[in-house]
Amino acid sequence: MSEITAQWFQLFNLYALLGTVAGVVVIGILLFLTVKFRAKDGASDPADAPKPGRIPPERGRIEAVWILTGLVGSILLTLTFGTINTVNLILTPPRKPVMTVEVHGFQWGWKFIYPNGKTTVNEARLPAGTPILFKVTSDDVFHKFHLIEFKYGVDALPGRFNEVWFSTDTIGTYTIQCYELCGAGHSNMRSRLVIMPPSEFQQWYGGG
Amino acid sequence: MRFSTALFVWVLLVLATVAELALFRIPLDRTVFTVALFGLAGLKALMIAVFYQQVIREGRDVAAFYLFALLVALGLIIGTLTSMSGMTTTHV
Amino acid sequence: MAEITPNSVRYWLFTTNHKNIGILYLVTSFYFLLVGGALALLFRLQLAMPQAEILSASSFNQAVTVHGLVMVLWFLSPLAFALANYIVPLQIGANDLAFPRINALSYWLYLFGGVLAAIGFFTPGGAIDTGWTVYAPLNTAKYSPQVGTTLGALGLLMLIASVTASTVNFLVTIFKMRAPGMRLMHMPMYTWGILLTVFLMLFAFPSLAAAGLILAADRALGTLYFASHEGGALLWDNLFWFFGHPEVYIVLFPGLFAIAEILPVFARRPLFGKRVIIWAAVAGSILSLMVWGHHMFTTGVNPLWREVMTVLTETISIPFGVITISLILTLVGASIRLRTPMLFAIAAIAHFIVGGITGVFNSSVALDYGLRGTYWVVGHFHYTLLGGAATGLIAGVYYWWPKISGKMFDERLGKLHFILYVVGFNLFAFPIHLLLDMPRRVYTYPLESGWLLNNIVATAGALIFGLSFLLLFFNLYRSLRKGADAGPNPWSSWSLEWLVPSPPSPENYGGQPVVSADGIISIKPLLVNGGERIHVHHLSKAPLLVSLGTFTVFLGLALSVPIALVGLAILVASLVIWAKESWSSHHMEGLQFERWPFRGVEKTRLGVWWLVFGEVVLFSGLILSYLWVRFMSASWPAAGTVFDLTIGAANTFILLTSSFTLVAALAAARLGKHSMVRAGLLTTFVLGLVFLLNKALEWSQLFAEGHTFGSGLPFSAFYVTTGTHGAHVLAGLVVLVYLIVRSFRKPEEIHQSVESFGIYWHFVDIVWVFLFPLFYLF
Repeated sequence: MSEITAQWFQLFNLYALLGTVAGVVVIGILLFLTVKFRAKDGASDPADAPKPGRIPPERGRIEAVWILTGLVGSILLTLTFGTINTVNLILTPPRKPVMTVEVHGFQWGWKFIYPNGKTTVNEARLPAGTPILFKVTSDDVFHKFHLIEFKYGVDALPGRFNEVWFSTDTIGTYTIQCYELCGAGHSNMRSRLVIMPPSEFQQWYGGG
Repeated sequence: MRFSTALFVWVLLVLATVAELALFRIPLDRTVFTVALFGLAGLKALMIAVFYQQVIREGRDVAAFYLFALLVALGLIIGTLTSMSGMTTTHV
Repeated sequence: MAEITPNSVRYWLFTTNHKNIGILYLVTSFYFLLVGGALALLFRLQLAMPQAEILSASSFNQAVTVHGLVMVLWFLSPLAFALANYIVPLQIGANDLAFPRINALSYWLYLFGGVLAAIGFFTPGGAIDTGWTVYAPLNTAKYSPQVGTTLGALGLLMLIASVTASTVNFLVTIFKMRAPGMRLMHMPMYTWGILLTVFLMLFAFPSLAAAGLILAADRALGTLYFASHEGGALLWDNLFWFFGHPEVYIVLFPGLFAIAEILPVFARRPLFGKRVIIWAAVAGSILSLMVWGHHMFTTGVNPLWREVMTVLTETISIPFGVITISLILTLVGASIRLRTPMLFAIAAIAHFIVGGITGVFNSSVALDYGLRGTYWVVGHFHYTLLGGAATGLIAGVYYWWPKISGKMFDERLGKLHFILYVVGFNLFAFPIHLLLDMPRRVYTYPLESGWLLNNIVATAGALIFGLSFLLLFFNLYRSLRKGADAGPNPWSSWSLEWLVPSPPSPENYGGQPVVSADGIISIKPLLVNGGERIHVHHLSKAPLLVSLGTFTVFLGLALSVPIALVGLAILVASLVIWAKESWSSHHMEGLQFERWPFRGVEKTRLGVWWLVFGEVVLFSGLILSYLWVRFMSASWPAAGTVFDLTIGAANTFILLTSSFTLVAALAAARLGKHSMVRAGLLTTFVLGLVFLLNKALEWSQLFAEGHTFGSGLPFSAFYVTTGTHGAHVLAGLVVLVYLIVRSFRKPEEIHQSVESFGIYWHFVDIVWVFLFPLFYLF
């Protein structure tokens, strides 16, 4: 679909794998201990059980903590590297020629302004295989320009352009939606994203 | 604290303020001016805290938390302002 | 006040006893749970049906907004403070909080603040509907014109005042009113949790206060901070999330530490790594002040800044991971009794683990590009805050109920509640993660999206979960009628609150708690004033009236000025009542013991110091806002061209001198020279008054030149920042009136009050020392 989306899912799956393993292991241990050390009926108290009016003694070895810290830290370090790589991908446009499309979010729709001045509302037509630079802004309040199937986007802020690049080889119709609450029409602030074969796009676009 | 000390501090505070006003009149490099101006302000604040609020007499615990509050304040200001630079945006 | 019957309506309206206030918070927070919960069920029903019209788009936005605000600010933390109010003094050996009337004030401000915000539902345009995060510029008058939004913002300001008062109160109480021999490390875990919570609250809430003040100014006066492009969305984003991130730990700690308190009792073993848990929590708290950027990853801010925020955010998982593991290790070699509080505590840990893990996803800038604004985030915070924090607090309610009510609840009903609660919660919250494509805060969605099934399951879970609370309420209510007597220590726990009867007597101990060197807590016979019983009902009309007055003023500010004036009259009258009440804190003196930390710092003075520390952050938020709009602006008037340097400089000299005269008054007070004290106080007052009159002159000059609140950012920033400072001067003058009157009527022992006041007044001077160059010379 798109290089960014593919990498995004790779990263997500990495986090999901590590997260699921960690979660299953830790919650598993929690539940296992709860069952294993459940008191039998009428069991007596261990020696260091709480006694009324007695400050409880210290318990636990510091070494365990350091080991665990190291473990958690290394997992996080792995994840951070993956993150940094993916972020760079999102933020760095490729060297191939890029078409810039201005996107204006407004209450409640999306306006697209092409380099030759052509303007569409709630429908973006783009050629497959061409890297596009979206320059996103808002004409009123804080919106978020989000490409649902591609799993990323960028905030639309009044008074500034946020840039994000996009490219896909897959022909089809996709959805753009606003992902930041922006008033009563927020739920319907949707636009079609039509990816066309380059020749068809040129016909529609009319050059320039 | 002694009345004479309080008076002396007051004189210093007044002089520092006069210095700030004088700085304003002198043609100075912008960075030098800013550092000097807020340096003087910081000095005044420190004098008020130490001599009038008696921070040192209150003890290390009060001073430590005062410092911590200052760090949080600076963190908020500097942390937020630095987010501005190199934004991947341009003005409309 | 001696003739008021205990437990009459007037008794409850005027009480200041910490246990009664705790009960008030408990009942009120559960009421707000019902409000927030009902709203949730409404919109969950709406979302479970394709293209439903149970709620219109606008009503839906109001419902989700008020749900969020109510749950976080009017339910979760207040429930934590219900328990804190009741239990913390009992745990540390105090017989009330440091400032009982201020405690009552906190409660009434909280209640009235909620009412103020809720009134929005009945006004044209409805209640606040911007999302609980109230983003700019949607929050401005232009895009949210309805008065309901202003009422929401003002209700929030009342809540912040309530919270600030509580914060100062608990900080002084925990540091100064522990029983002799009770060192900080001896304190039970719930008290530790509250200590860390209020410490964070002190430094986080002022940022929200700054944002709220500016928003109120924008809406009511027409200033341009959030309406302008230079200020706008990002300024609010930073101010709000600087508060917002620590806020989630503020909400979490009480529940987490309740778990840490409960686990050892039912495992019958000591807590594993108590010191480590505490140090980890301290580290987590400090880190939490440094990670707010992770809420702004897609806004286009500096990429390096974002990476730093990612690393810091991931670092936070370490202390919380350590805490979680320590809690779990407590169970090794244990002898676990699975009573209701323990069941909820264990479930809370499991939920918190899930929430913590999904949180790591959100800390990644890359993943955030895809997850921000989606239901994945909703899943994350419901697992941590509802599954973790709230569940921990429910465990705490069950755990301490016997102490508060004197009765045991029904264990089988408790277990049934537990099963429905856990099943319902997970059925609701888990599918939410699978909706990681679905945008937040949409009132409906197309059938083709494929989101319907998960929404239906989530709604079913929410219904089961919500209804399970009825079991809780029924169980607790029934226990009052038919429950077995609990006795002092039904759970065989160790801490001080379990050594006294259930419920405790009004003054808590019937003696003086003491901790021996080898860690034994006991209650010795009381030796204060010949064993005289302490008058502990502490009834006072003032806190309720002050809150009522404040409420009316704010209502008037939003709706109509005459109402505000009535409110002002009530406020002034109630402050006079407060000042005149013969308030004896002598009984407190006997229970204050000097030890580390804050040795030698008297209670009231320490309270003022804490207040000042919070104010440092408030003013830094305002100063930041000024610097932000200035640096974002293409041009700004040069110094000396718009603001009158003469008036500014004159005011600087005036305020500096007023600090000097106040110090002179204090020196005189210490020497018992009453006439000099009066002279010093009067001069300080006059100087402060001249400062304000100068300011009024300056402002009217500016207005005459056409420079009003909305004339441009330089003026907006000037008026809001120096205006807030001026309000602080005014507040100081009000207190000074009280001191002056007292210096004439009852000048003995006045030096302590003058000294405490001085801390505040000199701080106000320090703020001006920075504002003067910032606005007039820079």
